[in-house]
Amino acid sequence: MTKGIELIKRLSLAFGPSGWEDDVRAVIREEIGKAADSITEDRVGNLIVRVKGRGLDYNASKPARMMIAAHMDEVGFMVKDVTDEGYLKFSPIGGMDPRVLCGRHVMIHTDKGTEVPAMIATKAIHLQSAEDRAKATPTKKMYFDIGARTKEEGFKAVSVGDCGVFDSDFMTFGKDGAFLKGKALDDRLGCAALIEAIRDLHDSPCDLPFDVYFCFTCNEEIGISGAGVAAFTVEPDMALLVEACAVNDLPGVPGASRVASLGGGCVLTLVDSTALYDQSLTAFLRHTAEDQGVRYQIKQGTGDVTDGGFIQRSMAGVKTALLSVPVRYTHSAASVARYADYESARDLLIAALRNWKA
Amino acid sequence: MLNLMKTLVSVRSISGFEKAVSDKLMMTMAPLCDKVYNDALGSLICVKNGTAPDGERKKIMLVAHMDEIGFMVTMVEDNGFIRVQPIGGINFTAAAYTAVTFGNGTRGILIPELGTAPNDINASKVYIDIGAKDKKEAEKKVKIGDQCALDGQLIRLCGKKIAGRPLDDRIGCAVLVDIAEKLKDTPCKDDVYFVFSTQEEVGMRGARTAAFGIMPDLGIAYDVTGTGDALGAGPMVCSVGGGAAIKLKDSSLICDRDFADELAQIAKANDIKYQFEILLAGGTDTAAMQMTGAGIKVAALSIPTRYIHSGTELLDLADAEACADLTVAWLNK
Repeated sequence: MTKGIELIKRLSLAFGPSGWEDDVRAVIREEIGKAADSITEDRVGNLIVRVKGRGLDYNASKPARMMIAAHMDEVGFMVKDVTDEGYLKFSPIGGMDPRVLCGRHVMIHTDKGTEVPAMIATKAIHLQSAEDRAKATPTKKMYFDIGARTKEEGFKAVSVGDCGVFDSDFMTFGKDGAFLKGKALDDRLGCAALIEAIRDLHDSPCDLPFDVYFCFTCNEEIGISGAGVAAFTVEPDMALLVEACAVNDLPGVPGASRVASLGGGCVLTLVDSTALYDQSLTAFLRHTAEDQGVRYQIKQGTGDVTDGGFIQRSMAGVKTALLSVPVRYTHSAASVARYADYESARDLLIAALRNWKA
Repeated sequence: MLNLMKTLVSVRSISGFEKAVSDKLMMTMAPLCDKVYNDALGSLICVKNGTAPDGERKKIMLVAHMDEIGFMVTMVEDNGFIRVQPIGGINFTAAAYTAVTFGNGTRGILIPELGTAPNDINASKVYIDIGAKDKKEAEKKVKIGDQCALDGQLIRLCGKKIAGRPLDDRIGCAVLVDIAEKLKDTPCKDDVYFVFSTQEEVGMRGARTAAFGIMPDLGIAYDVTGTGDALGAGPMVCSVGGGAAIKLKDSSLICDRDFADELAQIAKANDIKYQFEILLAGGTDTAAMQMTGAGIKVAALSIPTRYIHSGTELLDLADAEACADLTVAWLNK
């Protein structure tokens, strides 16, 4: 595995449902090491990493500020009760299709510090009625099986409020291992791109006309946007969000509904449900990609909820753009991406910082 | 006001792409104000300084949005037809079989797929036909991310009534210009911030950041409002020609009642025709301003309009003039 894939693997396997991002923060701190000028954590748990600017265009007394953000949190589950028979009732954290849950493994991290494996129980096909087969079981009617036989035994292992995430291996597959499969690619791919950019700026320093604040943010998946809080902390002049873009490049899907395609390069978004992105920043990214020979595609859809709007409309407004890595089956245990698309997003991020002109 | 409206509806200004209208308004407003600038989201902010000494002047924010609803290109089909997504609340049934214009001047018509029942017409069931013979020819004119809108138009009807599009909210912009012209030689004592906001149609975005940047003491928003006077309209007392509509409530906020009552009293004292308005559905920039910072006392003066967000909206210029007159009377109280 290349170093980039090793980094993505480590981030993908880290435990971090919204609000419980401690493990991810620890991994990121370790991976950055001494490559940044400062690393701080704000009151809601965003990790803010500063790389100072320098050079002729850098105003040392009142530096301009650039915010680069990716979210650390992933979708997950919270235990809400144990039944008399020892099964756990749970609530989803973030939006998931109930059809991707049945039969999956989950790892619960308890407040006692233990890890409890759980299976999402499902009725075997032999036992399903015709009606059962015709419709998806809603999450409310699902439960975790942790091998407990009574309510008491269940409560010995877990408490109400304990959280879990998909227990899913990370692997590469396809020709030359070009594809990646794992949980939480949304948005650990973004986190990896930020970390690699920080290392790159450290290993071969360049004149940056601004201080760059790399923000690893929390609580994106439940819509309360740690990134919005980080924007008020950083007070950036401009912002670039690095995300995973859910794509639909599947058989039988007509062109206009595919959103973007794996293998097409990183994705530039003009509009989503939260924001109409800044045209001059987006145009700068396009030109940079063309100059540097980085593959990119323009997102076809206008849906999707991201942190973009929260950052853009913080304070008196922040010019914001959105760069993302296309991902299939996002918010499931087996999200799929292409490493080359990740590389193009990372390379464009680094090239944009190194050649800033907007 | 009629001539200004003709100019304003002639330029496309879809949410997020408001520069053309912003430039026109900047040219009009610059000679009337002390300072004009665009903020990070593109809102045009024009400041007219007051006459009171420093430290005794309030900041008054008057806001109207300069964006309009439209479409963004998501894909060009192999046969040259263009697929789009809506920007803002589009009534696809009303927009069907109508001419559209793209940013670069390319013309087209918005067509529902044949056989689609009128109630089933939505974004995925329509396409734009620009007359291209295939994808290659179409892509010479239009690419993904380009935006277009129904053509702007304006006709005069009985009395001072006009119809066309987009009256929402170019009429609010025209009211602000009218107020600025009236204050040109006789400024009021407070600082007046004329804000032409962006991205209202996608969720009152520009007004929110503009208000944060200004942190006004008081704010008034100017926008169109629905009426109860069309055939089949909902139960609403507001009517076209009934005067400036002082908003009490819409889906996005409850206005400050003292402020609304104060405006009504000033209208009465100055013989300006007014009515109260409770909008049944829809929000305005008023709410974005109200919830900025630690909260701002706000009112809204609406221009009663029939057939909002269709291809042809109708209003009475006399109502818009009443909004401007009432504002000037309030500023000079």
